[in-house]
Amino acid sequence: MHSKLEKPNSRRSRHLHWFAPAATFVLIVFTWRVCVAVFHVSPAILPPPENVAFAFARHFPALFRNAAVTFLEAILGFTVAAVFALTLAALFAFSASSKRALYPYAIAMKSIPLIALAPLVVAWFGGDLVSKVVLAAIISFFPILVSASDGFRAIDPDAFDLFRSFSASRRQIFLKLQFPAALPQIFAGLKTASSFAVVGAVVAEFIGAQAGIGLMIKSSSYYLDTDITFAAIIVAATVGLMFFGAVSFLQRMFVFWQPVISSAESGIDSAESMA
Amino acid sequence: MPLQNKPIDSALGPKRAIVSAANLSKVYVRSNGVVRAVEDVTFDINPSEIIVVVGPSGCGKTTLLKLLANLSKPTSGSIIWNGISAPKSSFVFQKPLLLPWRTLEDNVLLAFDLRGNTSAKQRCERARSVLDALGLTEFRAVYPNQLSGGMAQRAALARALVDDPEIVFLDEPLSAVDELKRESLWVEFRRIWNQRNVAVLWVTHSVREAAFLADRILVMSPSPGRISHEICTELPVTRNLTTLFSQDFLALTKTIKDALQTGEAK
Repeated sequence: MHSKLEKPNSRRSRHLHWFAPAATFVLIVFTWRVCVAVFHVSPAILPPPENVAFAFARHFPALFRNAAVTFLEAILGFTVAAVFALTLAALFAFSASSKRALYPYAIAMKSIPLIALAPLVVAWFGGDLVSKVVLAAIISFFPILVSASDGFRAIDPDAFDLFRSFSASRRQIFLKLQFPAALPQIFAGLKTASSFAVVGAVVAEFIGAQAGIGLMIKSSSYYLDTDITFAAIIVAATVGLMFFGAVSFLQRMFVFWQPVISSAESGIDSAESMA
Repeated sequence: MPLQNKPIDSALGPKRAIVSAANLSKVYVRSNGVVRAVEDVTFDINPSEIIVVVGPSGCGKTTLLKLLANLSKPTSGSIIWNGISAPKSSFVFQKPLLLPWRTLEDNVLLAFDLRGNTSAKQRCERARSVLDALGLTEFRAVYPNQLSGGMAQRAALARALVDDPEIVFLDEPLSAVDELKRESLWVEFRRIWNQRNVAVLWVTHSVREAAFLADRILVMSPSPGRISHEICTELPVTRNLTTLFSQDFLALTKTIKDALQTGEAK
């Protein structure tokens, strides 16, 4: 049987998939090094890349330990947010009146800056794990709620009629149609939330913490150890990237019917079609 | 070819109808006025009968189909079932609407999943039988994104037939299939209906499709949607691609076209 899905130009696109970000990285580091040399920038303002690499190597155990703390806070906050947001989105799918009653408040809460909430949350829950988890959960909650809520609603009306023609109950329609059909949107929200959760945990660590990448960034910048600050920022970004990658992997597992086209590949396709 | 203006009392046919529409009307109230989608429609659907409703786009065919399939409520009139409850029915839409996360076989078994009360053995037997009849057995483990348009629509038909409905409603199911493939699917569908003793209400705007498939043709006129003519065909029960070139078929298509034109002129 002829498959309608065309496989991407596999070897070439795999190479390009890795080459493009690697080339960008080299270009950024090169530009950074040249700027530091040409403008004689003080290492306390902008350390050269090799200083950051040395700081990374020297403080690797501390960076790893603190990154693990931040990752734990982020993943717990993300999980709490996913459970609450999906439950609320499901409630909205079943009851339009509950959505009318609660959705405006959810959106209003979304507009409050996290940095404004952080001191309050730390005051209420203390400087330990719970306050970090709560802040990571608050910031992750809305992307999941909005994407899941939209996903449950964006169903072809004929698909509803198809289920009704088989005498499906409201519960069956939700579990066998709405939920699986909304998975692509749910995962889009989960991917956004995964990066936000790390941001939430780091911001909470700025306000009050015993450990974590946020604390390391704060204390190193206080002592003008800018090379350590940079190393910690890179580690925080790596934690966010790993989290995002893990959710993307789960997406490929659970939303297997949807072809995953990376932005790099789609760019190549459009460039080729233009040629 | 007999061409009759449909009188309302012809609803009481010789056979005992499984579904009867009596003075059925559906009115939509929109911001720009009232739309009378279906008005005063009366007819019967008899067991094992293939009825094709033909009419121009927007004449209310799909509305009529959804009223009879109990997917929409009439504004006035009634639907009478020959039994205590509505007959077991299924619906085939313009799009195949296969669920992309289910294999072809699991899509076909959807009716059992939703209606329940069937043993695993029975499900397997029914799925095998219907997939076999539609030539889909070798694709049972394939996901919908790997199926062609015609094959996906055959899978949608298999899903509609799997739990032996008494009546199948089809809303222009072949509108997205190319002309050549469509004709071979007409032959296939007609053969399957003949084997399965199932009543069919098929909606189309294609005159040739209506002429080939139907035992009885209801011609709808637009604004408001009414049945203007009822045409009984004299084509043989078993039909194949050569039927499309027969004198009877050509005469029938002309009769339907004339009915459509007079219906629109009214």
